[in-house]
Amino acid sequence: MLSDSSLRTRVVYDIAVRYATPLWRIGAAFRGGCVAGLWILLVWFPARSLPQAAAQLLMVSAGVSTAWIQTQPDTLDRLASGPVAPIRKAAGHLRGVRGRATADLAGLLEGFGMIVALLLYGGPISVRPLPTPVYVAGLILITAHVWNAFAQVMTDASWYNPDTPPARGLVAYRPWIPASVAAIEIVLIVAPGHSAAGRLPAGLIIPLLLAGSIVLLLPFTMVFEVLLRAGQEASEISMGEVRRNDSITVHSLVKNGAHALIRQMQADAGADRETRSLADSMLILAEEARQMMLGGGPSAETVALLWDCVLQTVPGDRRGGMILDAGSRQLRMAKTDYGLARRVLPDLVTNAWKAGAQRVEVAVSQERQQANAAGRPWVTVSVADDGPGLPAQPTGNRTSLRILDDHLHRFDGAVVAERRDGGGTRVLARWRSSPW
Amino acid sequence: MHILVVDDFVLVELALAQVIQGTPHTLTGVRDPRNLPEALSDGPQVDLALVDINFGPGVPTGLTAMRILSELSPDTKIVIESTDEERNRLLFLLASFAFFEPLALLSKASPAEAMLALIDAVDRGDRSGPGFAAPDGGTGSRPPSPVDRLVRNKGLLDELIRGGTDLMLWRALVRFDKRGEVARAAHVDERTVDRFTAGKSLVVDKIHAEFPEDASAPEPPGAGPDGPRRPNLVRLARFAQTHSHFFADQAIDGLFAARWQTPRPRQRRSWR
Repeated sequence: MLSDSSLRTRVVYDIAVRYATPLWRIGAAFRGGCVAGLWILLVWFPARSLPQAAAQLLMVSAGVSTAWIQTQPDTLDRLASGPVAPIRKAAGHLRGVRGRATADLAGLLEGFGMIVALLLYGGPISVRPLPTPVYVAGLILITAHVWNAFAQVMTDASWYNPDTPPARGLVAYRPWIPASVAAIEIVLIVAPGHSAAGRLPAGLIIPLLLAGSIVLLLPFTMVFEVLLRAGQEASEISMGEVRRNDSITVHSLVKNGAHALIRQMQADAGADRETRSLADSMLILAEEARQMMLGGGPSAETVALLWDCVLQTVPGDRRGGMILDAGSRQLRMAKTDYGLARRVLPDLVTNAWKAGAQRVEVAVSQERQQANAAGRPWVTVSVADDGPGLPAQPTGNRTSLRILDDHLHRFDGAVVAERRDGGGTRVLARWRSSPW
Repeated sequence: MHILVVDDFVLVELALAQVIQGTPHTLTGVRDPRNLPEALSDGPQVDLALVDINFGPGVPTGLTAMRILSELSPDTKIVIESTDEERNRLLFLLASFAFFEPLALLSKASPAEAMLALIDAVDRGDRSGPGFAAPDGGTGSRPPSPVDRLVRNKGLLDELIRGGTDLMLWRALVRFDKRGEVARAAHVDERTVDRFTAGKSLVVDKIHAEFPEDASAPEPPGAGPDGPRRPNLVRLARFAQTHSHFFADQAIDGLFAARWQTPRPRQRRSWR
């Protein structure tokens, strides 16, 4: 519905600002045509009422002319720097209110001018007698003018501004605007006077139909918003396509480079384990970037996301044996914990499959100690494999586990490896969760 | 000296922890500027904060981090960490030096020795090393370093954004490049857009002259109905799009608002 805030988005607002400029211009020209038609109809007015009729059309004529000038920035600029002070002042005012949802000179002149013009055809001071075709044509022109003016009001860009949304009261009143305008027109036409309803040239049906047609502005606006929504969806689909293309670019630019670097690191016996780990982490970061692009924003930092990224570091033929505990998948971590898990998990998994493990079971948990329930929880990453077990390491060697252990000490943590009953190894990395 | 790393990547903190291993310095880290108040109140007195600029989508930037640090821990010395490759950091860096007093600019690509040298220099109170702004503002015989150029040209930011209307126009230019649309989106008249375009084009020229590495984007082709007639507007739109992250940062509203309220020496009215 019209008060639906889902259309108050950047894309819809951008579309609205873009259509507003040409529509204002076309609308002002159209309404100018309507007013010109009203002047032409004066030819069939009784001669004695011509001065009154002309006077009644002056205000709306001035209003529509002002509205047209308002859509011509260059003309407005010339008037604003002209020699006549009142015109200079009026032009300055019209320039100042452009694009703002506020009452301006053109709007007020047009609004009140249309009421005064309508009183030529209905209400207490209407002109009589009028030929029926002139009466009907006049009402049609006035209704068309009102239709156009309020179509602009109903589809104004300010309804869709996400930064400064319209007042709640205005949004609530918006669906009632067409009915209110129609009611005003009907009341003016049938208002008792010397042309009481029974003596209207075409009876009540035509004025009621014309005024009632203004209510159709509501479905018109709804259709308009369906188009806006379609534009928004089309834009989102295009954005998705762009994101997919970008993610492919990330894949080819970053991942290929990272793979080449990793291959070089693996071939270089002198390369430090930490350096190899960091090269591996490039793959994970590239995968996270790809997923972020695909999702159109940062993904929730869950274990499931991390696991998907870690699998990118595992050769395709080994991924089938990599099992993440189902209960761990939806665990969300603070940013530091997620960063540490991103540092720890690939190393532990890589160690496992490189050692010849066929099955690697991973679990990540976050729990508080019962003795200190109010304290910060502990994060545990467990990687259990069916490999041949830990090789003996020379003392002092900077193995990947030793390096991880060093890092986790900063967070009161450690890495512990143990032999599993029945063969294989379980490595536990544990640290105190960071609050941020 | 206690160091606080304000960076969304924990790897940066881990790497720095290795760099300062064996020194008397200690280190903690936060991943998000919004966590700074808690970290500053719970942790030890922070002597030096290494502050990143970009924390990813939807997270406040380094300007917010520096504002919080300057409000809650005014004695903390600030060093900005930045990646050299990203051109869209320029306005953030200018704003950092315009609104705060960071001691130095540290490239994330710096080798470990350079990082440690800078930290030790901050500890000693020695501001003469690389990364620090030169005492003479870089006007001496040696070519100005990147940080010298930032300090020397921080006034360009005031020329770029002189008031709330300028800010609205820059934000409109991120999304529109036609005069009428920019005017409508910024709630101003077209004449204001013209004056803005004329004035700011000169400022952007100055920025590109002072920071040529920021000017490597190709000139607009001039296509489209407004292109040939208003190439400067299209050029400003490109500039705004390059720095869209900066113009979208809500932190600059508050920083500039406070600056505009501060009485300044009377200047000739200018749209630049």
